[in-house]
Amino acid sequence: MNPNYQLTDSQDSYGFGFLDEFAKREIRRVILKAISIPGYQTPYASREMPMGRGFGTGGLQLTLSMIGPEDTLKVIDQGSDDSVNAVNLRKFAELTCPDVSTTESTTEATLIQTRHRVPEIALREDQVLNLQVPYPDPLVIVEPSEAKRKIMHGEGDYARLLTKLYEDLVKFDEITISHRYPTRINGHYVIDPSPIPRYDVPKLHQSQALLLFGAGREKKIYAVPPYTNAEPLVFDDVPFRTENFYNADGKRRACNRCGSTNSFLDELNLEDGSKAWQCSDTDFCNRQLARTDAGEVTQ
Amino acid sequence: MNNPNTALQPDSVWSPLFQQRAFRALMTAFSFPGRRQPLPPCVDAKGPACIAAVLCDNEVTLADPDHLIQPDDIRRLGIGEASVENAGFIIADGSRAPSFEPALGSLAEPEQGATLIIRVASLDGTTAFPLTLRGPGIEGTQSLGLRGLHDGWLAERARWNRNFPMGVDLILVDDTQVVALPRTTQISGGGN
Repeated sequence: MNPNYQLTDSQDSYGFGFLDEFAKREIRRVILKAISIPGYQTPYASREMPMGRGFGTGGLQLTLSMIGPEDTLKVIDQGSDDSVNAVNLRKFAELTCPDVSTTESTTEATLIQTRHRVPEIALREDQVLNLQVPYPDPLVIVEPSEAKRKIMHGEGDYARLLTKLYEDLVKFDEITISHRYPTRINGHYVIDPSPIPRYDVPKLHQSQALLLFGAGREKKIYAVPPYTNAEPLVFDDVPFRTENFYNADGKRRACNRCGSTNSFLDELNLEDGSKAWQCSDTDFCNRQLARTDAGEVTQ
Repeated sequence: MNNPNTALQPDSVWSPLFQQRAFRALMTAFSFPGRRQPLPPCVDAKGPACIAAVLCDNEVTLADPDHLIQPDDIRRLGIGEASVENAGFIIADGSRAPSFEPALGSLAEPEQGATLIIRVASLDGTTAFPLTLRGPGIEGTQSLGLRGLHDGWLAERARWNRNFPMGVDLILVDDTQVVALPRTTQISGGGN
Protein backbone atom coordinates (compact mmCIF):
# COMPACT_ATOMS: atom_id res chain seq x y z
CA MET A 1 0.00 0.00 0.00
CA ASN A 2 1.34 3.43 -0.91
CA PRO A 3 2.13 5.30 2.33
CA ASN A 4 0.89 8.53 0.75
CA TYR A 5 -2.39 6.98 -0.29
CA GLN A 6 -5.41 9.03 0.70
CA LEU A 7 -8.97 7.84 0.57
CA THR A 8 -11.04 9.68 -2.00
CA ASP A 9 -13.69 12.07 -0.71
CA SER A 10 -16.48 9.64 -1.47
CA GLN A 11 -14.84 7.03 0.77
CA ASP A 12 -13.87 9.46 3.47
CA SER A 13 -17.12 8.90 5.31
CA TYR A 14 -16.22 5.40 6.50
CA GLY A 15 -16.60 5.16 10.24
CA PHE A 16 -13.82 4.44 12.68
CA GLY A 17 -12.61 0.89 12.12
CA PHE A 18 -14.18 0.56 8.64
CA LEU A 19 -17.07 -1.63 9.82
CA ASP A 20 -20.43 0.06 10.38
CA GLU A 21 -21.80 0.16 13.91
CA PHE A 22 -24.38 -2.55 13.22
CA ALA A 23 -21.68 -4.94 12.01
CA LYS A 24 -19.54 -4.19 15.05
CA ARG A 25 -22.48 -4.69 17.40
CA GLU A 26 -23.25 -8.09 15.89
CA ILE A 27 -19.64 -9.23 16.16
CA ARG A 28 -19.53 -7.93 19.75
CA ARG A 29 -22.63 -9.95 20.68
CA VAL A 30 -21.10 -13.04 19.10
CA ILE A 31 -17.79 -12.54 20.93
CA LEU A 32 -19.59 -12.50 24.28
CA LYS A 33 -21.47 -15.71 23.42
CA ALA A 34 -18.24 -17.31 22.20
CA ILE A 35 -16.53 -16.53 25.51
CA SER A 36 -19.55 -17.86 27.41
CA ILE A 37 -19.41 -21.21 25.57
CA PRO A 38 -15.65 -21.88 25.38
CA GLY A 39 -14.64 -23.53 22.11
CA TYR A 40 -18.09 -23.35 20.49
CA GLN A 41 -17.99 -22.10 16.90
CA THR A 42 -20.49 -19.27 17.13
CA PRO A 43 -21.92 -18.33 13.71
CA TYR A 44 -21.91 -14.71 12.63
CA ALA A 45 -22.55 -12.67 9.48
CA SER A 46 -19.01 -12.21 8.22
CA ARG A 47 -18.84 -8.93 6.30
CA GLU A 48 -17.22 -8.30 2.96
CA MET A 49 -13.86 -6.69 3.61
CA PRO A 50 -11.73 -4.86 1.06
CA MET A 51 -9.48 -7.93 0.76
CA GLY A 52 -10.03 -11.51 -0.25
CA ARG A 53 -11.52 -13.99 2.16
CA GLY A 54 -8.69 -16.17 3.36
CA PHE A 55 -6.42 -13.18 3.90
CA GLY A 56 -7.36 -12.78 7.53
CA THR A 57 -10.77 -11.16 7.29
CA GLY A 58 -12.06 -13.10 10.30
CA GLY A 59 -9.27 -11.93 12.57
CA LEU A 60 -9.53 -8.44 11.13
CA GLN A 61 -13.25 -8.19 11.83
CA LEU A 62 -12.59 -9.21 15.45
CA THR A 63 -9.88 -6.57 15.75
CA LEU A 64 -11.90 -3.78 14.10
CA SER A 65 -15.00 -4.47 16.19
CA MET A 66 -13.13 -4.07 19.48
CA ILE A 67 -10.34 -1.59 18.75
CA GLY A 68 -10.47 1.91 20.20
CA PRO A 69 -8.25 4.99 20.20
CA GLU A 70 -6.55 3.85 23.43
CA ASP A 71 -5.35 0.58 21.90
CA THR A 72 -1.92 -0.42 20.70
CA LEU A 73 -2.12 -2.96 17.90
CA LYS A 74 0.44 -5.54 16.83
CA VAL A 75 -0.12 -7.65 13.72
CA ILE A 76 1.99 -10.71 13.00
CA ASP A 77 2.08 -13.29 10.25
CA GLN A 78 3.93 -16.54 11.11
CA GLY A 79 5.57 -14.68 13.99
CA SER A 80 6.86 -11.90 11.78
CA ASP A 81 5.75 -8.26 11.84
CA ASP A 82 7.22 -7.66 8.40
CA SER A 83 5.65 -10.25 6.13
CA VAL A 84 3.11 -9.25 3.52
CA ASN A 85 -0.09 -10.23 5.31
CA ALA A 86 0.93 -8.54 8.56
CA VAL A 87 2.13 -5.34 6.90
CA ASN A 88 -1.03 -4.93 4.85
CA LEU A 89 -3.45 -5.66 7.68
CA ARG A 90 -1.54 -3.29 9.96
CA LYS A 91 -1.62 -0.54 7.32
CA PHE A 92 -5.34 -1.08 6.84
CA ALA A 93 -5.88 -0.65 10.58
CA GLU A 94 -3.73 2.50 10.56
CA LEU A 95 -5.73 3.87 7.65
CA THR A 96 -9.16 3.20 9.10
CA CYS A 97 -8.54 3.68 12.85
CA PRO A 98 -7.16 7.17 13.44
CA ASP A 99 -5.33 7.64 16.78
CA VAL A 100 -4.63 3.91 17.21
CA SER A 101 -0.96 3.16 17.83
CA THR A 102 0.72 0.20 16.22
CA THR A 103 3.76 -1.58 17.55
CA GLU A 104 6.03 -4.53 16.86
CA SER A 105 6.60 -5.18 20.55
CA THR A 106 4.63 -8.03 22.08
CA THR A 107 4.75 -6.49 25.54
CA GLU A 108 3.54 -3.02 24.47
CA ALA A 109 0.55 -4.28 22.49
CA THR A 110 -2.97 -4.39 23.95
CA LEU A 111 -4.41 -6.14 20.90
CA ILE A 112 -2.47 -8.68 18.85
CA GLN A 113 -3.79 -10.02 15.59
CA THR A 114 -1.92 -13.07 14.43
CA ARG A 115 -1.72 -15.54 11.60
CA HIS A 116 -0.48 -19.02 12.51
CA ARG A 117 1.62 -18.30 15.61
CA VAL A 118 1.17 -17.49 19.29
CA PRO A 119 3.91 -15.06 20.44
CA GLU A 120 6.82 -16.61 22.36
CA ILE A 121 6.50 -14.13 25.21
CA ALA A 122 3.63 -15.16 27.49
CA LEU A 123 0.63 -12.85 27.16
CA ARG A 124 -0.90 -10.92 30.06
CA GLU A 125 -4.45 -10.48 31.31
CA ASP A 126 -4.74 -7.04 29.73
CA GLN A 127 -3.94 -8.36 26.25
CA VAL A 128 -6.21 -9.98 23.66
CA LEU A 129 -4.99 -12.32 20.91
CA ASN A 130 -7.09 -12.48 17.72
CA LEU A 131 -6.18 -15.46 15.57
CA GLN A 132 -7.00 -15.67 11.86
CA VAL A 133 -8.61 -19.00 11.13
CA PRO A 134 -8.95 -20.64 7.69
CA TYR A 135 -10.77 -23.84 8.74
CA PRO A 136 -12.62 -23.67 12.05
CA ASP A 137 -14.09 -27.15 12.33
CA PRO A 138 -11.81 -30.07 13.32
CA LEU A 139 -14.61 -32.55 12.56
CA VAL A 140 -14.77 -31.67 8.88
CA ILE A 141 -12.27 -34.43 8.01
CA VAL A 142 -14.59 -37.10 9.43
CA GLU A 143 -18.10 -35.72 8.83
CA PRO A 144 -19.15 -33.70 5.76
CA SER A 145 -22.55 -32.54 7.06
CA GLU A 146 -22.41 -29.40 9.18
CA ALA A 147 -25.79 -30.20 10.76
CA LYS A 148 -24.40 -33.51 12.00
CA ARG A 149 -21.13 -31.92 13.09
CA LYS A 150 -23.04 -29.42 15.23
CA ILE A 151 -24.80 -32.25 17.03
CA MET A 152 -21.51 -34.11 17.48
CA HIS A 153 -19.92 -30.97 18.96
CA GLY A 154 -22.89 -30.42 21.25
CA GLU A 155 -22.70 -33.96 22.55
CA GLY A 156 -18.91 -33.79 22.87
CA ASP A 157 -18.76 -36.80 20.55
CA TYR A 158 -15.23 -36.94 19.12
CA ALA A 159 -14.96 -40.70 18.72
CA ARG A 160 -14.46 -40.47 14.95
CA LEU A 161 -11.73 -37.87 15.35
CA LEU A 162 -9.95 -40.12 17.85
CA THR A 163 -10.30 -42.98 15.37
CA LYS A 164 -8.54 -40.84 12.78
CA LEU A 165 -5.69 -40.22 15.22
CA TYR A 166 -5.57 -43.94 16.04
CA GLU A 167 -5.35 -44.85 12.35
CA ASP A 168 -2.37 -42.51 12.09
CA LEU A 169 -0.67 -44.32 14.95
CA VAL A 170 -1.32 -47.69 13.34
CA LYS A 171 0.03 -46.59 9.97
CA PHE A 172 2.86 -44.27 10.93
CA ASP A 173 3.53 -44.79 14.68
CA GLU A 174 2.90 -41.05 15.01
CA ILE A 175 -0.06 -38.69 14.86
CA THR A 176 0.66 -36.95 11.58
CA ILE A 177 -0.90 -33.57 12.34
CA SER A 178 1.80 -30.91 12.22
CA HIS A 179 -0.39 -27.87 12.75
CA ARG A 180 -4.09 -27.21 13.49
CA TYR A 181 -3.88 -29.84 16.23
CA PRO A 182 -7.40 -30.61 17.60
CA THR A 183 -7.58 -29.25 21.13
CA ARG A 184 -10.29 -29.79 23.71
CA ILE A 185 -11.43 -26.65 25.52
CA ASN A 186 -12.74 -26.80 29.08
CA GLY A 187 -13.36 -30.53 28.73
CA HIS A 188 -16.09 -30.18 26.11
CA TYR A 189 -15.69 -28.64 22.65
CA VAL A 190 -12.76 -29.60 20.45
CA ILE A 191 -11.47 -26.69 18.37
CA ASP A 192 -9.20 -26.27 15.41
CA PRO A 193 -6.75 -23.84 17.01
CA SER A 194 -5.92 -22.36 13.54
CA PRO A 195 -2.69 -23.42 11.81
CA ILE A 196 -0.45 -22.80 14.80
CA PRO A 197 2.35 -25.38 15.14
CA ARG A 198 2.08 -28.04 17.82
CA TYR A 199 4.72 -26.03 19.67
CA ASP A 200 2.11 -23.33 20.39
CA VAL A 201 -0.73 -25.58 21.52
CA PRO A 202 0.40 -25.74 25.19
CA LYS A 203 0.32 -21.91 25.24
CA LEU A 204 -3.47 -22.03 24.89
CA HIS A 205 -3.76 -23.90 28.19
CA GLN A 206 -4.52 -21.63 31.16
CA SER A 207 -3.44 -18.58 29.15
CA GLN A 208 -3.67 -15.29 31.02
CA ALA A 209 -4.98 -13.51 27.93
CA LEU A 210 -8.28 -13.94 26.13
CA LEU A 211 -7.79 -15.85 22.86
CA LEU A 212 -10.31 -15.22 20.09
CA PHE A 213 -10.51 -17.08 16.79
CA GLY A 214 -12.15 -15.52 13.74
CA ALA A 215 -12.92 -17.44 10.55
CA GLY A 216 -14.14 -14.90 8.00
CA ARG A 217 -14.80 -17.21 5.08
CA GLU A 218 -16.45 -19.87 7.26
CA LYS A 219 -18.32 -17.22 9.30
CA LYS A 220 -17.43 -18.52 12.77
CA ILE A 221 -16.02 -16.97 15.92
CA TYR A 222 -14.82 -19.00 18.91
CA ALA A 223 -12.88 -18.31 22.04
CA VAL A 224 -10.56 -19.75 24.63
CA PRO A 225 -11.15 -17.63 27.73
CA PRO A 226 -8.27 -16.91 30.13
CA TYR A 227 -7.48 -19.57 32.74
CA THR A 228 -9.25 -22.28 30.76
CA ASN A 229 -8.09 -25.82 30.14
CA ALA A 230 -6.96 -26.51 26.57
CA GLU A 231 -5.86 -30.10 26.10
CA PRO A 232 -4.63 -31.52 22.80
CA LEU A 233 -6.57 -34.63 21.83
CA VAL A 234 -4.33 -37.61 22.67
CA PHE A 235 -4.43 -41.12 24.05
CA ASP A 236 -3.49 -41.99 27.62
CA ASP A 237 -0.48 -44.05 26.50
CA VAL A 238 0.70 -41.72 23.70
CA PRO A 239 1.68 -38.37 25.16
CA PHE A 240 1.43 -35.18 23.09
CA ARG A 241 4.70 -34.20 21.45
CA THR A 242 5.79 -30.83 20.15
CA GLU A 243 8.47 -29.99 17.59
CA ASN A 244 11.86 -30.55 19.23
CA PHE A 245 14.28 -29.15 16.59
CA TYR A 246 16.89 -31.78 17.30
CA ASN A 247 19.65 -32.22 14.75
CA ALA A 248 21.01 -35.62 13.67
CA ASP A 249 23.11 -35.80 16.85
CA GLY A 250 20.08 -35.26 19.05
CA LYS A 251 21.15 -31.74 19.98
CA ARG A 252 18.63 -28.88 20.02
CA ARG A 253 19.24 -26.46 17.17
CA ALA A 254 19.79 -22.80 18.04
CA CYS A 255 18.56 -19.74 16.18
CA ASN A 256 21.10 -18.70 13.55
CA ARG A 257 20.59 -15.06 14.41
CA CYS A 258 20.11 -14.73 18.17
CA GLY A 259 21.31 -18.12 19.38
CA SER A 260 18.12 -18.88 21.28
CA THR A 261 17.41 -22.54 22.00
CA ASN A 262 13.95 -22.05 23.48
CA SER A 263 11.89 -20.70 20.59
CA PHE A 264 10.06 -22.04 17.56
CA LEU A 265 12.45 -22.13 14.59
CA ASP A 266 11.84 -21.64 10.88
CA GLU A 267 13.90 -23.75 8.49
CA LEU A 268 15.55 -21.61 5.82
CA ASN A 269 17.03 -22.85 2.58
CA LEU A 270 20.19 -20.88 1.86
CA GLU A 271 21.55 -20.07 -1.58
CA ASP A 272 24.32 -22.66 -1.37
CA GLY A 273 21.82 -25.42 -0.72
CA SER A 274 22.46 -25.68 3.00
CA LYS A 275 19.86 -25.05 5.66
CA ALA A 276 19.68 -22.63 8.55
CA TRP A 277 17.27 -22.23 11.45
CA GLN A 278 15.97 -18.94 12.75
CA CYS A 279 13.36 -17.78 15.29
CA SER A 280 9.91 -17.50 13.75
CA ASP A 281 8.91 -14.77 16.25
CA THR A 282 10.88 -11.73 15.07
CA ASP A 283 10.12 -9.61 18.13
CA PHE A 284 11.40 -12.36 20.41
CA CYS A 285 14.51 -12.79 18.22
CA ASN A 286 15.25 -9.04 18.29
CA ARG A 287 14.91 -9.00 22.07
CA GLN A 288 17.32 -11.92 22.45
CA LEU A 289 19.74 -10.20 20.10
CA ALA A 290 19.53 -6.93 22.02
CA ARG A 291 20.22 -8.80 25.24
CA THR A 292 23.23 -10.54 23.73
CA ASP A 293 24.51 -7.21 22.44
CA ALA A 294 24.11 -5.76 25.90
CA GLY A 295 26.53 -8.39 27.14
CA GLU A 296 24.08 -10.66 28.89
CA VAL A 297 24.24 -14.38 28.49
CA THR A 298 21.40 -15.91 26.51
CA GLN A 299 19.40 -18.95 27.66
CA MET B 1 -12.29 9.38 8.05
CA ASN B 2 -14.74 10.06 10.79
CA ASN B 3 -13.06 10.67 14.07
CA PRO B 4 -15.01 8.80 16.74
CA ASN B 5 -14.48 11.69 19.10
CA THR B 6 -16.46 14.08 16.95
CA ALA B 7 -19.20 11.83 15.58
CA LEU B 8 -21.35 12.33 18.66
CA GLN B 9 -20.73 13.58 22.14
CA PRO B 10 -18.27 10.99 23.50
CA ASP B 11 -20.19 10.81 26.74
CA SER B 12 -23.46 9.89 25.05
CA VAL B 13 -24.46 6.25 25.36
CA TRP B 14 -25.23 6.27 21.61
CA SER B 15 -21.75 7.40 20.51
CA PRO B 16 -19.51 4.81 18.84
CA LEU B 17 -16.68 5.70 21.21
CA PHE B 18 -18.77 5.02 24.32
CA GLN B 19 -20.02 1.79 22.82
CA GLN B 20 -16.52 0.60 22.00
CA ARG B 21 -15.29 1.35 25.53
CA ALA B 22 -18.33 -0.20 27.15
CA PHE B 23 -17.96 -3.31 24.97
CA ARG B 24 -14.36 -3.70 26.11
CA ALA B 25 -15.56 -3.48 29.71
CA LEU B 26 -18.11 -6.19 28.92
CA MET B 27 -15.58 -8.35 27.10
CA THR B 28 -13.22 -8.13 30.07
CA ALA B 29 -16.11 -8.90 32.40
CA PHE B 30 -16.98 -12.05 30.43
CA SER B 31 -13.30 -13.06 30.24
CA PHE B 32 -12.91 -12.80 34.01
CA PRO B 33 -16.29 -13.75 35.53
CA GLY B 34 -17.02 -12.17 38.87
CA ARG B 35 -14.55 -9.31 38.49
CA ARG B 36 -16.20 -5.90 38.62
CA GLN B 37 -15.62 -3.71 35.58
CA PRO B 38 -16.42 0.00 35.60
CA LEU B 39 -18.63 1.19 32.76
CA PRO B 40 -17.25 4.23 30.95
CA PRO B 41 -18.91 7.49 32.01
CA CYS B 42 -21.95 8.66 30.09
CA VAL B 43 -24.52 11.38 30.61
CA ASP B 44 -27.74 10.04 29.17
CA ALA B 45 -28.15 6.51 30.54
CA LYS B 46 -27.05 4.26 33.33
CA GLY B 47 -26.96 0.59 34.19
CA PRO B 48 -29.15 -1.69 32.06
CA ALA B 49 -29.80 0.96 29.41
CA CYS B 50 -26.04 1.26 28.75
CA ILE B 51 -25.73 -2.48 28.21
CA ALA B 52 -28.78 -2.57 25.93
CA ALA B 53 -27.41 0.31 23.85
CA VAL B 54 -24.10 -1.52 23.37
CA LEU B 55 -25.53 -4.94 22.47
CA CYS B 56 -29.05 -4.52 21.09
CA ASP B 57 -30.41 -3.28 17.78
CA ASN B 58 -33.11 -4.28 15.34
CA GLU B 59 -31.48 -7.66 14.68
CA VAL B 60 -32.20 -8.98 18.17
CA THR B 61 -35.19 -9.28 20.42
CA LEU B 62 -35.34 -7.79 23.88
CA ALA B 63 -37.88 -8.20 26.65
CA ASP B 64 -38.15 -5.68 29.46
CA PRO B 65 -40.86 -7.08 31.74
CA ASP B 66 -39.96 -4.77 34.65
CA HIS B 67 -39.88 -1.62 32.44
CA LEU B 68 -36.34 -0.63 33.39
CA ILE B 69 -35.70 1.17 30.09
CA GLN B 70 -37.35 4.45 29.17
CA PRO B 71 -39.86 4.20 26.29
CA ASP B 72 -37.79 6.75 24.35
CA ASP B 73 -34.70 4.56 24.63
CA ILE B 74 -36.67 1.50 23.56
CA ARG B 75 -37.71 3.34 20.40
CA ARG B 76 -34.15 4.48 19.82
CA LEU B 77 -32.83 0.93 20.14
CA GLY B 78 -35.25 -0.15 17.42
CA ILE B 79 -35.34 -3.61 18.94
CA GLY B 80 -37.72 -6.35 17.98
CA GLU B 81 -40.23 -7.05 20.71
CA ALA B 82 -40.63 -10.56 22.02
CA SER B 83 -42.12 -12.40 24.93
CA VAL B 84 -39.72 -13.14 27.80
CA GLU B 85 -39.71 -16.80 26.81
CA ASN B 86 -38.42 -16.08 23.30
CA ALA B 87 -36.28 -12.98 23.71
CA GLY B 88 -32.55 -13.02 23.01
CA PHE B 89 -31.99 -10.38 25.67
CA ILE B 90 -33.97 -9.97 28.88
CA ILE B 91 -33.68 -7.01 31.21
CA ALA B 92 -34.88 -7.71 34.72
CA ASP B 93 -34.94 -6.30 38.22
CA GLY B 94 -32.72 -8.45 40.44
CA SER B 95 -34.60 -7.63 43.66
CA ARG B 96 -37.53 -9.82 42.59
CA ALA B 97 -37.37 -13.53 41.98
CA PRO B 98 -37.53 -14.48 38.29
CA SER B 99 -40.94 -15.64 37.14
CA PHE B 100 -40.18 -16.69 33.59
CA GLU B 101 -38.42 -19.37 31.58
CA PRO B 102 -35.81 -17.85 29.24
CA ALA B 103 -34.66 -19.42 25.98
CA LEU B 104 -31.84 -21.88 26.68
CA GLY B 105 -30.78 -22.61 23.11
CA SER B 106 -30.40 -26.10 21.73
CA LEU B 107 -27.64 -28.70 21.72
CA ALA B 108 -26.64 -27.71 18.18
CA GLU B 109 -27.16 -23.97 18.72
CA PRO B 110 -26.41 -23.12 22.34
CA GLU B 111 -25.74 -19.47 21.45
CA GLN B 112 -29.54 -19.06 21.17
CA GLY B 113 -29.68 -19.12 24.96
CA ALA B 114 -30.75 -15.74 26.32
CA THR B 115 -28.51 -13.05 27.77
CA LEU B 116 -30.02 -11.77 31.01
CA ILE B 117 -29.20 -8.20 32.00
CA ILE B 118 -30.03 -7.99 35.70
CA ARG B 119 -30.07 -4.72 37.62
CA VAL B 120 -28.85 -5.11 41.19
CA ALA B 121 -28.62 -2.52 43.96
CA SER B 122 -24.87 -2.58 44.28
CA LEU B 123 -21.82 -4.51 43.10
CA ASP B 124 -19.41 -2.75 45.46
CA GLY B 125 -18.58 -5.94 47.33
CA THR B 126 -20.04 -5.11 50.72
CA THR B 127 -21.83 -8.22 51.84
CA ALA B 128 -21.20 -10.55 54.73
CA PHE B 129 -21.58 -13.68 52.60
CA PRO B 130 -19.85 -13.26 49.27
CA LEU B 131 -20.36 -15.76 46.48
CA THR B 132 -17.49 -18.03 45.50
CA LEU B 133 -17.03 -18.56 41.78
CA ARG B 134 -15.12 -21.20 39.83
CA GLY B 135 -14.76 -21.97 36.16
CA PRO B 136 -13.17 -20.73 32.93
CA GLY B 137 -11.72 -17.23 33.28
CA ILE B 138 -11.08 -17.69 36.99
CA GLU B 139 -7.69 -18.62 38.41
CA GLY B 140 -8.67 -20.82 41.36
CA THR B 141 -11.63 -19.04 42.88
CA GLN B 142 -13.13 -15.57 42.63
CA SER B 143 -15.13 -13.89 45.36
CA LEU B 144 -18.13 -11.74 44.46
CA GLY B 145 -20.00 -9.55 46.90
CA LEU B 146 -23.20 -7.89 45.79
CA ARG B 147 -26.46 -6.54 47.17
CA GLY B 148 -29.93 -6.58 45.73
CA LEU B 149 -30.00 -9.97 44.01
CA HIS B 150 -32.90 -12.18 45.06
CA ASP B 151 -31.79 -15.70 46.03
CA GLY B 152 -34.23 -17.09 43.46
CA TRP B 153 -31.96 -15.92 40.64
CA LEU B 154 -29.06 -18.15 41.59
CA ALA B 155 -31.30 -21.17 42.11
CA GLU B 156 -33.02 -20.64 38.77
CA ARG B 157 -29.71 -19.95 37.03
CA ALA B 158 -28.35 -23.26 38.29
CA ARG B 159 -31.45 -25.01 36.93
CA TRP B 160 -31.31 -23.22 33.56
CA ASN B 161 -27.60 -24.01 33.17
CA ARG B 162 -27.69 -27.63 34.29
CA ASN B 163 -27.29 -29.03 30.76
CA PHE B 164 -24.15 -27.49 29.28
CA PRO B 165 -23.80 -26.25 26.54
CA MET B 166 -27.40 -24.99 26.82
CA GLY B 167 -28.03 -22.20 29.28
CA VAL B 168 -28.21 -18.47 29.93
CA ASP B 169 -25.51 -15.87 30.49
CA LEU B 170 -25.97 -13.21 33.14
CA ILE B 171 -24.80 -9.62 33.12
CA LEU B 172 -25.22 -8.06 36.56
CA VAL B 173 -25.21 -4.29 36.49
CA ASP B 174 -25.60 -1.46 38.97
CA ASP B 175 -25.43 2.21 37.98
CA THR B 176 -21.73 2.26 37.17
CA GLN B 177 -20.30 -1.25 37.23
CA VAL B 178 -20.84 -4.57 35.55
CA VAL B 179 -20.12 -8.21 36.41
CA ALA B 180 -20.64 -11.11 34.01
CA LEU B 181 -21.60 -14.65 34.96
CA PRO B 182 -21.36 -16.79 31.81
CA ARG B 183 -23.03 -20.20 31.86
CA THR B 184 -19.73 -21.95 32.64
CA THR B 185 -19.27 -20.24 36.02
CA GLN B 186 -20.04 -22.40 39.05
CA ILE B 187 -21.36 -20.48 42.03
CA SER B 188 -21.34 -21.53 45.67
CA GLY B 189 -21.82 -19.75 48.99
CA GLY B 190 -23.79 -16.54 49.42
CA GLY B 191 -26.99 -15.86 51.32
CA ASN B 192 -27.91 -12.43 52.64
